[in-house]
Amino acid sequence: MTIHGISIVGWQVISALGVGAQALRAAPPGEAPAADMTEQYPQDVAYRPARFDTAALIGTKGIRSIDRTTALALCTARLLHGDQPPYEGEQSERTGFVLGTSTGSIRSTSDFTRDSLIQERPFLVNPAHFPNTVMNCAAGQCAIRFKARAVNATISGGRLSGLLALQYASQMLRRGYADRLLTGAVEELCEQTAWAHRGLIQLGKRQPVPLGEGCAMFALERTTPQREGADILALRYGRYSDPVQDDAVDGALACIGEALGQAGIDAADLVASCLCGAAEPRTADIERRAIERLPGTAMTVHQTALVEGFGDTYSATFALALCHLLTCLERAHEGSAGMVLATTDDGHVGCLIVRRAAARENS
Amino acid sequence: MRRVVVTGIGAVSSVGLGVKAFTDALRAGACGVSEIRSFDTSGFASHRGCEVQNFDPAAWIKGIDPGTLGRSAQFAVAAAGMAIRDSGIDAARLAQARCGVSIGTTDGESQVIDQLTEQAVRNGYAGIDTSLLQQVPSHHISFAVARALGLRGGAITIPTACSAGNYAIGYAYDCIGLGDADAMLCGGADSVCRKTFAGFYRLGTIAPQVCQPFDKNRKGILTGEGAGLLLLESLDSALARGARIYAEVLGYGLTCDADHMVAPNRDSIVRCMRLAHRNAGVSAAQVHYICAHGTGTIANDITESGAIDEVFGANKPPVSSIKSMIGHTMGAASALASIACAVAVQDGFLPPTINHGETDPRCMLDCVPNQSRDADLRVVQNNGFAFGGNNAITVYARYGQ
Repeated sequence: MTIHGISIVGWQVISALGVGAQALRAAPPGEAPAADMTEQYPQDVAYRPARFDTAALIGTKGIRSIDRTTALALCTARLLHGDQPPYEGEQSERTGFVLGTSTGSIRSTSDFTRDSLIQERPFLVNPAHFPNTVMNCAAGQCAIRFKARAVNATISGGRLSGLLALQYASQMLRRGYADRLLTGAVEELCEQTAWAHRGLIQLGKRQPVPLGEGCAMFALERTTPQREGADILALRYGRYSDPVQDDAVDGALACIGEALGQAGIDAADLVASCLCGAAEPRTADIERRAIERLPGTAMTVHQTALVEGFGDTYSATFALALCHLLTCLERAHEGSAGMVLATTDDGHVGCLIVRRAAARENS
Repeated sequence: MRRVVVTGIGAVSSVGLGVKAFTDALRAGACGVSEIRSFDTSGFASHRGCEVQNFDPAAWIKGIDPGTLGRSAQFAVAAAGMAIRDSGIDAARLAQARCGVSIGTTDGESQVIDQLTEQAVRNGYAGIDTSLLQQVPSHHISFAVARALGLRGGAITIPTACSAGNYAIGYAYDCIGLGDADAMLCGGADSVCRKTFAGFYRLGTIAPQVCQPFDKNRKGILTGEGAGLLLLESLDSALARGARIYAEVLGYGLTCDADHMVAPNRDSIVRCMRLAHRNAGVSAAQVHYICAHGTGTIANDITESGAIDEVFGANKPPVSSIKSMIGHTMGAASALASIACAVAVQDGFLPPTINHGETDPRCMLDCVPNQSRDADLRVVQNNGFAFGGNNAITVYARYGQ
């Protein structure tokens, strides 16, 4: 297996735990305050809304028609981009966005259809909102605001969306289609996701965990000796078991094993792991049992604290978990490695191993 | 990079199911327009679209319960099965190999979202049919294909709107080229829905009768649906099993306008074409045919023609739009158009632009009006553009040494 060769040279996040990576460092998951939502939301669900001020973060220009998914993405991208002006020239043509989402803004899509159904005429929909109803809206708006004209992609993978966005972006970088890809995943909290969450809990497909939202973005570049950050040592993804004929825990372990092999380390070398399946009964169980069977490890395992703090953030789950892992690695000794694991109930497994770059930070 | 070829094709479209029916329809210049049945079009002055009518999911879908899938996933799974059978590959062997799935879409399971929204309007959110909820997330389109066919290589859905099919094919090409996968099922899928129809109607871009790309009297798009899936594998693997090779994937280019969410951008399309040519290792002069994005809106047709003019100058190859036949199939569009490219190269013909009266003088192209033509094609190019400024262009060639 080849070395992954991609590094995370910066990251930012917005979630119930606050705005910015600094807020996450200061407030470990598990401590988010519960929030009351308006009566349009089911009252028998707990919520973890992200509190952020779009106008304060990105200014008032051009924000009238954007939805919450796009606002979360634009604000997170602004935190990552800093106060720099938009990209120009060659840099503009070599920088892009890759964003994970499974539905785009489901509120935008659903409300647009709702207007068609309830207005006097079915075409009396707001044309300014039409672009919000395509799933690539947030990525497109990020490109416009920061003038990132290279690869611009939107990736859907359910709870694995963040991992798949990283996989897609890594491949684009390996092929040389771009030099820098701002890569992450987003999920919004809205009435539609709240009622869906409640319905899935009733069906037994989801645990009665709080519902959250958020966005995380990572600046990815090909690994070079000069840059600080965290190196992606391994990224493995596949359908490692079939729910009918195979054992799902074996599948998860096979994926972890391949990832450790690609990273060239042992399970004992991992200091922390973040598991993404806590919000679903079956995946929570698969991941926990897989970790229990990993030999010789004394790593800290983060699972329920993540979903308690962030809430269930569906498409953003993996990306937010990676943010948490990066804060753990910052507190660990230099060169420490950690893992994010995600599974689905039909056998897909994704495993990412990152290492805090040690030598380079000393140089 | 390993060389990558197309060895299997599955098409679900308004003009035919399966690669043979689809190819015959392209050759014949068939028109897939009909009255829309997917949703109630009362109150709209136009009622026509390019639906896949008489599609019987149970007849096409094996390995997964079609009742658990939205219509887009049903199309994708059906097309995937067709592609596997067409390729002649041993399905059991494929399930043991590193074969992944990448599928593009614009609206995902939009009919399911429409349905849930209608239930919420009538009964409140507490009254929605919760059994539909799990069909909503768009990743199920590719995940369903992996599950139905027992594929182990990992599935990914790429919802980059109307160029998503090309994105998915490009990703698959890289996976095989880099050696990360042995084979990939890739393409796009979408279904007709109220949301998209109402949106384009509001923008004044739905044609009342037919779609007429590059025509002086064009009236806009017709929304369509379907799925196009291609089996890609390495050239070595295709040769080793003696597979029929439709075409070689030479490469692709992606650019983002970073300018406007909806309006196409000529400079960015020019950049995308040049990038696609460079990545594919060809010059513009070598391109024998362009399968246009060709939506049949003024904005697209003039911008696209202008960009082709700038890149190709006096040596423009024929440029046709199969959207004249199958409508705008959204996320499936550039996948079905890639299939058109592959069969055009294999069979030696130019798919026509039907419904054509008089070419718009601002689009000075040979759009292969109304009738297909025999042609010896070596290198062809497939344009895909999208909301969000997501341009993706794939380049194919007849396989040869």
